[in-house]
Amino acid sequence: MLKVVGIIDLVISLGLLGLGLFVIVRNRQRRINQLFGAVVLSLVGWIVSSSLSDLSPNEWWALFWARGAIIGPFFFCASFLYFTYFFPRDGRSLSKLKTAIIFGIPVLALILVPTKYNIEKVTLYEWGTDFVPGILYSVLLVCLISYFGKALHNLFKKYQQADSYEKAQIFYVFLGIVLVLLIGTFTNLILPVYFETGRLSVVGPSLAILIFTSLTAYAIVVHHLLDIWIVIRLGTIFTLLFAIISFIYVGIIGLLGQYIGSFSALVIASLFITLTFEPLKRFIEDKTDKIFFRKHYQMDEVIDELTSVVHKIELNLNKILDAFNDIAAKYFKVAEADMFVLTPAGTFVEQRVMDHKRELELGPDNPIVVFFNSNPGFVFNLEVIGRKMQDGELNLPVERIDLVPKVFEEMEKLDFTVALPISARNQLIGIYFLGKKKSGDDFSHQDLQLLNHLVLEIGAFIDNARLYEDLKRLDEAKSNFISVVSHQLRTPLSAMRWDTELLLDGKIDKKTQEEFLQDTYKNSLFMISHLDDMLIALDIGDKEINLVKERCGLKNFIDEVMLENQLLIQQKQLKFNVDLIELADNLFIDCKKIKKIIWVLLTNAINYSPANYGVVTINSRERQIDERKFIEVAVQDNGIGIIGEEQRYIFQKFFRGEEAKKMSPNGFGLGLYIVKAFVEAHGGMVTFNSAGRYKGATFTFTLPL
Amino acid sequence: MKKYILIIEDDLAIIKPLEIILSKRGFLLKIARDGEGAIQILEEKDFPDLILLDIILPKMNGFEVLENIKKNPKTKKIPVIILSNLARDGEIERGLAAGAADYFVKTNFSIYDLVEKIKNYL
Repeated sequence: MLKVVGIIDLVISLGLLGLGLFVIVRNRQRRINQLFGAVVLSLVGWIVSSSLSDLSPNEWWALFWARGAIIGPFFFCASFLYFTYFFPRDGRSLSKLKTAIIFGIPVLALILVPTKYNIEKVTLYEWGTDFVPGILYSVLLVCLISYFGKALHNLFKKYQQADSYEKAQIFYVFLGIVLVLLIGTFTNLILPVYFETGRLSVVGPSLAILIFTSLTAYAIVVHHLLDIWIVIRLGTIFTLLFAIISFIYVGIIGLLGQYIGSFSALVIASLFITLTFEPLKRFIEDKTDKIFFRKHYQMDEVIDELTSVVHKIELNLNKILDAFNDIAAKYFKVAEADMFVLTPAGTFVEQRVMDHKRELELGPDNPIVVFFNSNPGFVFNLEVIGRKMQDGELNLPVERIDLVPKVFEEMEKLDFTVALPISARNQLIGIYFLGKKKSGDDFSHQDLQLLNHLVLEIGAFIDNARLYEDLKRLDEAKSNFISVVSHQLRTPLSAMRWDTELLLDGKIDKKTQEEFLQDTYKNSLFMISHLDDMLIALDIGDKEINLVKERCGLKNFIDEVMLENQLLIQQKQLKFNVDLIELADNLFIDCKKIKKIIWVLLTNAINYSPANYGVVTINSRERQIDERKFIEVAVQDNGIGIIGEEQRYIFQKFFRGEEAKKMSPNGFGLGLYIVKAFVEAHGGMVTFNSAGRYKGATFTFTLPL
Repeated sequence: MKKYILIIEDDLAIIKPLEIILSKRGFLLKIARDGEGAIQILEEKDFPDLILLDIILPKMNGFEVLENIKKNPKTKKIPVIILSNLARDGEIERGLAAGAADYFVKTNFSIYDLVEKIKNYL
């Protein structure tokens, strides 16, 4: 009996030691962790030496260990007090005087440890040791009371100033102390007085200490998971569990002890407790959750809150996502909530995260994305599906059931427990992920119902926010267009205005007069052609393009463009290679529109080619695509080229590349848009390729023969 | 001594009437056809008494040129008048905020009124 209790104590102290080391290893740099290590070490010293005293073979050894055992509590209360000065936040360092007072008394006490003022005599009994305490024990008692009093005072002061999560941390420590008092009273006061058994009084305090330190350790290590409800829940569960186990333990030993001997009764009790511990724990968790914790939200309330929050914020995607995450954090108490939103590139990008951003991206081939694309209403709950997979009966009402294990694996990798697809107008536009609940519970049916509602709302809000942003962008494009157009029209108009003003004044020489008339004429042509472009571009969007086909040839068009740009070609000393097949001169096409195509492609090549060594090549060939005959015309230059993003937008209305704007600032960004529309109206195709900046570009279009 | 004006403008049809009227009024002129050219002229320590600056320019736009002029301690005191056809409030505000002495929209002035306005800054 004695040996068993001593061994239990030793095991507890080993557990404590491990806990202390764990906390220190978790963050060696933090002073709280180091101090906590010191507190635990002094506790371990205390328990180990007192249990060694109990296990001693003779009274000399018992006295030796019993005297040594007093060092532990002295240093325990000193280091705990010291610890409370820094808990939960590393504060400023303590003054040297205070430190000296706190640790001075234990150090001075060391002198009296091996003397009779500590313990005079030890008597060995069957259940442990008994001793006559000396004066040092009175000192220890004073020390314990005053140090603990001060420590509690410190904690209380800090509790009042602390923010919510620090409050919860301090609460752990308070809870630990209360539990120690409860358990200590139970084993050392209630049990001995009412049941006349002092057996547990040896192991009780050690157990209490283990629970207390575990709670404190939890508070320190997992501090960002703290939640007052979880603390209360854990506290309740463990207190109940401890009370029930103690009752069974004492009951079995009391009932059976007199028949089969206390050792056998102890073995049976231990066996019984070991076997029933897990189911008992689950039972208590279930009952306490049902009574205290599970129903702490009402669907309607949450939805009302969500609606009121969302109505208060503007239609801004990020703010809305934050509001949803807040709700998830508040009601589901999850460690992590994460939203992935579809981007124009077709990937799902992590948008808003509760804790930290990982910058994750799910491509269109990711199994989670593929799975939700075929199951837009399915809630993927890792816990439920994991159980089904374990039982080998994966009969879910879903499409692409082959993907389920892959989705499972992917979610485990990302450390999420639940995934819900977010859809809007029948398209998957996002995925909402939740991590484990901090309490360790599964998601309940009610949780999933609420989540389902939540994602429906999220889908609608993302969609609205997107539409709003699209409208805003369209509006910007429109006003940008008005700005560009008015500028482009104002420029020739102002030249014409000033020229005619000077002409009317008549005080300029003949040569300049002629020049001004020429300029005015050219400017009017420029305006006409640009106005035409604008009208064409507006029409392209609105109605089908009418083709008026006649016979004509490309060669003439090319010559005309070159003639009109003669000056620029000469200035830049551009070289031209024109090589057309015979067929190109006898095409049945809408001649005006094809001339426009040639005009745009050729003037672009001229404008964006480098001076002095620019070369423009035009060639053509016959091609057969799917049994249809086409003529293919390519216009190649060695100019600025088209890079990156530009390649995506090059055929869009009003788009102009950055380099192009610099080289020729007066363009409208309509040329290639018109080219594409005209080629396609003929049943052909236009493509381009460019090897990069300053590496030229080749535009190729086909026309059916 | 004759005052010297630097015209930064790419469009020849705009340059020509400006050139004629301003030289008739007795100003010395220098013309830069793009932003980089203007900066080059200013680096030659050939400081004008006034700069007429267009915004839509090849190579470097007018706002960038203005920023450059105002950054350089030797040129930052030269009055810069923006002469552009960008006529939106935002663009005018941006030009004035960047340190332009004035902002004239070309179409809004007859060439004679424009010269009178310019003279106020000399």
